[in-house]
Order: sequence, then C-alpha cells, then structure tokens
Amino acid sequence: MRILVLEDEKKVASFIKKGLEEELYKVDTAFNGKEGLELTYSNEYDLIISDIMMPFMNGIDYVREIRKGGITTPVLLLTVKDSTKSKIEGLDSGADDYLTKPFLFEELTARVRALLRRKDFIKENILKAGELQLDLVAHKASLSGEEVMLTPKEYSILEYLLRNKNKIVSRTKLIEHVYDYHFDSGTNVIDVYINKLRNKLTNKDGKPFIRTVRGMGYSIKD
Amino acid sequence: MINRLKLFFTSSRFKIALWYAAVFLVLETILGVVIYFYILQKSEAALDSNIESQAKAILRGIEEKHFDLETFQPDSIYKSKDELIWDIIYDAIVFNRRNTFIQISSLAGVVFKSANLVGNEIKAEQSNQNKIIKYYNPKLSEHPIRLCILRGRGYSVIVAYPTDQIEQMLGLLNELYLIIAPLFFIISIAGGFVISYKSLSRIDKIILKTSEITAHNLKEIIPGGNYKDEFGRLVNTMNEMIGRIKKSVEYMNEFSLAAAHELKTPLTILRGEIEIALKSEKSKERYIEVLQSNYEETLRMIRIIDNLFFISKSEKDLIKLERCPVELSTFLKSVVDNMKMVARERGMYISLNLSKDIIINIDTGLIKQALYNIIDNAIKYGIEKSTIEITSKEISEKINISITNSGCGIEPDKVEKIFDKFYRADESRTKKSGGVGLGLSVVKSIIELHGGSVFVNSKPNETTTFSISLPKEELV
Repeated sequence: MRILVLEDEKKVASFIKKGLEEELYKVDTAFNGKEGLELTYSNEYDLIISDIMMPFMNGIDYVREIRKGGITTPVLLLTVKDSTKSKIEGLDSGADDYLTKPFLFEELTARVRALLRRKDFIKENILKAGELQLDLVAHKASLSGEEVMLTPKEYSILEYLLRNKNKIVSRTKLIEHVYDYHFDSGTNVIDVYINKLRNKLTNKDGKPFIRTVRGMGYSIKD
Repeated sequence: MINRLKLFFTSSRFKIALWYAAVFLVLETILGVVIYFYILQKSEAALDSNIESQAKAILRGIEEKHFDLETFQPDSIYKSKDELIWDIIYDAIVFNRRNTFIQISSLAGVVFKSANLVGNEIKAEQSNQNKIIKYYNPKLSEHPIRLCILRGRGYSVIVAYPTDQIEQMLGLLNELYLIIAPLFFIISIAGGFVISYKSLSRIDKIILKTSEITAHNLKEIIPGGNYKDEFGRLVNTMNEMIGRIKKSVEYMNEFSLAAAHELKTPLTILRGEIEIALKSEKSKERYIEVLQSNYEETLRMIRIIDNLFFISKSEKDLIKLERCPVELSTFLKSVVDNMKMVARERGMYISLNLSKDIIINIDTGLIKQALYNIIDNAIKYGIEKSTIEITSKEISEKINISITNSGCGIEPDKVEKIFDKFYRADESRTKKSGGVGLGLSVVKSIIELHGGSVFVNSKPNETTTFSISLPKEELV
C-alpha cells in the first residue's frame, strides 16, 4: 500500500515515513501542499496523511483541491489544532479522519488500517481468499493454517492483490502501489516477485492462487 | 436560627438603623435641652424686666415725692401709709396684683409689705450699695419666686413674683419630652431600617452578582453602574477591576495556549521517534540517530520555554540590562560571522554595509540574540542563493540597523502583527523556525528594553527589511 505523507516539519515526516515503512507500507513525503498536489496527481496513492499547517498551501486547501480534481483517496489530517471547529473544518473540506499532535503512533497505524479497510470495503484486518489468509496487523500470511514466510515486497504485492480480490490488477497498478517513487517501472521485477509468490502459494490441487491474465495483469479469486 | 439572628445583628442594615436611631435620639435630646433652657431663660428675662421696672417705678415714686415713710402721718389725701404706697405702686403694677409681692425697707427696717406677704418677710441680703439690682430665686413659703431688689437713697424696694407658672410649663415640656422621645426613637429605628434596606438592597444585588463571577464568566458585569451615586461608582470600579482581571486571564490563557502550541511540534517528534524506536530492535546507528534527534528537540523545547520566560519577564520589567560600550561595526561583524555558516547552507551570502566608529552602549548578549533571531529568520524565509544585506548608520541622533532579505515577504495586513507573541504570519512559521515563532516578540522586547524600536517593511515576493532604531542619548 502506498501512502503519501504531507508534513512541513521534516523530522515529523521522517519518523512517520520510517514508522509506516516498518509496517510494510510504501511512503512518499512532501513538505507542503503544492509539492503534495504534484505527487497526488502523478501517482496513485492508497492513503494520504496530511498536516494542516503548511506553507504555500495548507492541508485543508490541499484536500479541497484534490477533491475538486476528482481524487477520492482517503485523507487523514494531522494537526496541533484540537478545537472542534478546526476538526469540523478539516472533515468538511473532504478529509476522512483527523488526528491531533502529539499522537500515539500506534493510533496512527490503526487509523491507517481502518481507512484502508473502508476504502476497499473490508471489515476485518485479515484478508482471505480460499485457504489463504493475510493478517494485516501481524503482517503474516498463512495457507491452510500453515504460516508462509514472505519477504516485505512479496507481502505488499499479495496484500494489494487480495485487497482487489476477484479483480484484474495491472502490472502498472501493482508497481504504483507497492513501490515508492524511487522505483524504475521499466524493469520486469514485478514478474519475478509474482513468480516467487506463486511458488510459495500453491493450492492442494496444484493450481496457483495468483493467475496471470494475459496482456492485462494478475488476479486472485476466491 | 441563631446564626441568622447573629447575621442580622452583625449586618450593616441593623448597624445603620441603630446608628440612625441613636443620632436621632441625641439630636432630640439636644433640641429638648435647648428648648428647655431657652424658654427658662426667656421667661425669666421677661419676668425680671417686669419686676425691675416695677421696683424702679416704686422707688422713683417714693424718692420724687420725698415721702418720709418712717414719719408718715395720715392726712386728708392718704389716710394710711399703705394707701400712699399703693398709690405709688398702682402706677407701676403690671402683673396680677395678688401675685406680686412688694416689700419696702428703710435703714431702720421694713416699712411696707404688700398684703399678700401677710406674715412673711422676704429675706434679702442687705447692702449699702445703691442701685444694685439683684435677681435670685429664694422660696417664699415653699413657693419659688423671682426677686428684684432695688436700692435707693434710704430705701430699698423688693419686688417679687412667683415662678410657679414657668416651672409648670417646663414640667409639661419635660413630660412631653419623655413621651415623645421613646416614640421618636422607635420610629427612627424603623425609619433607619427602611433607609438601610433601600440603600443596602443594591449592595445585596452586587454581592449576589459578584459571588457568581468566576474566571469563566468574566464577560458578565455587575448591574447598577449607571447610577451616579457611591453604589454606582462602586459597581463601576468593580466592573473595571473585573475587566482588568479578564484581560490578564485572557492573556494568561493565550500565553499558556501559545506555550502548549509551541511545544506540541517537538513533543510530537519526540513521542513518534521514541515510539518507533522502541517498537522493534534497531541498529546501534539508528538508536544514536534517534537520540541525536531527541536531543535536538529537547534543546528546541528549552529554547521555546526560555523565549516564553524572557517575554513574560520583560513584560514585568524583571530584566536588567547589562550595558557595555562596543564599536557597532565590529560587534555586528562578530554576530554575522556566527551566522555565515547557517546562510551558506542555503547558499546565501550576507553583505555588510556598516558605518565605522559608532560607539554604542548596549547589552551585547541580548542585542546579539535579537540580531540572531532576525538574521535567522532572514535566512529561513529568504530565497536560496540570495543575499542578505545588513547596514548600520547614524541618522539624527539615532542608530539604525537594518537587515534586508529577498523572499516571499510578509503581506501588508500581517506586517503589524508579526511582533505579537501569539501571532504567526505564516501558520507554519513556528514549526519551520523551530520555536522561533516567538523570536520576533523576543526581538521587540529586547529592543524596547533598550529604549529603541523595531519595525518591518515588506514588499511581498520582493524584499523584507527589519529596521532596528536605537536612541543615541542612551549612549555614554
């Protein structure tokens, strides 16, 4: 899952990025609303975490702007303002959730999970497809009750495919959601990971969980 | 019940009523005494002048006609001595003849007594002095009388009149007083209560309203301030006091809010970084990195708190300047040398245009701090690779130091406010400048402590100039 963090205080942005990366999210950071806009329009994010008080363009104006631009990505606002009025203003601008600083990082990650669940119409923190289960909190995959060891990248790819269960996920989409913007999309590295995953996850009947839809992408079905 | 009674007796209302009645009683008594003595005095004086004029007339009558009362012989006109004397007396008698006592004496003894004296004799002290009139109040057969003795050549005339009537009248007056005084006393207590109730009921209202006022409803005012009397003034004074308290409470609230706000960013960083560091095991380098960053944030918080303290101390005049004379251009150069490194990080250059040989008497530590804050801002908000220009010169008895940068500038409507301690021109300013959001307020405090002024001139998206003006007369 790819997350954009907008925060002008570099140290705050940096610890949020580090913390979220430990949770196996891919994180891009920007230091003001304008930079944020560019990134938002050029990449597809699963979630945006934005500070309110930023130079050039504040968080609330930023959210209004992207909503006007048709972007429906969930937005979590962060701010030191804790008055009800500013919460209302923040949520009314089009944001989905609100967290006041200083916050507990655990709470931030819980809210991130909640927002991502809501976005994908999922009710639990465990994604399932047949015998396959993916625990989004413990970051563990299991097949027929047996744990399957995954590398972080494999985990991210599997998570994205499971979130979009029964849909065809294109290679570009996968790249966009499991890599941050330092990734060179020209390589076939995705195919390599998909192959590795396929080998780890095989049904009893020998059918792979991940199917290749020729010319379109990949898909996991129930 | 006992408590309420106690409250009643200690209440101002009761005390005022009592005082009122007491004063009334005293006045009443004084009036009574004055009336008593006035009437006594006036009626005695009237009596005196009457008996005196009678005595005079009798004496004159005797002396003018050269009667020899001792050797009187009855003749065709006066068949007796009494008849002769009465003839004289008649001319003079004013009062009731029956009540007027007349006694005429020669050197040899009493020669005439009016009939009503019967067996009595008025015992008057004898004297050889002539024409002396004496009044006094002896008793004649238990009746108080007023007496006038007039001495002539050979005779003395005593005219007396009973004073029963006067005494009766005064007695009546006393009786009247004894009836009226307690009555009036009771009425005056009641009146006192009415008056004190009327005036103090407004005090009760004030007490009621005042007791409701807390730090949270300081907006409310005590009613009754539009009366022009003492209570009105009291209410106005209290309302003014509430206004002042409200101001300082608001100030304190703003202050603590600002302090909390300033501290939130470093606390967010500390909390987040520590939390993530503790979540899973990290490399040694990573821990060092986190500690390093934590240390920086701790320093930032100390700086924020120092700034807040400085501002509130300077507002209470608790800061003592430690002035010492320095050569301004040398001093500025040393300040700028420390900042050059910071500027270089953003590719910026600091150019100096300083007048030489200006000696200035300042607290170098504080002025350095003020300049540091301004230059630091100029670097942070300036365009990368631009130049910051610092000039100093003496203009009409004043020392001017100006710092100009090229940057986004400050919008005109915000220029006035940037020195307010709770104001941020750009909402994110505090965060970015690491708590130096208070920096400009500190600058203002420092310069004003030196008797100078600081102002800013900004063309948005062009240049911003901070000018410090220090008075020359402050210099030694």
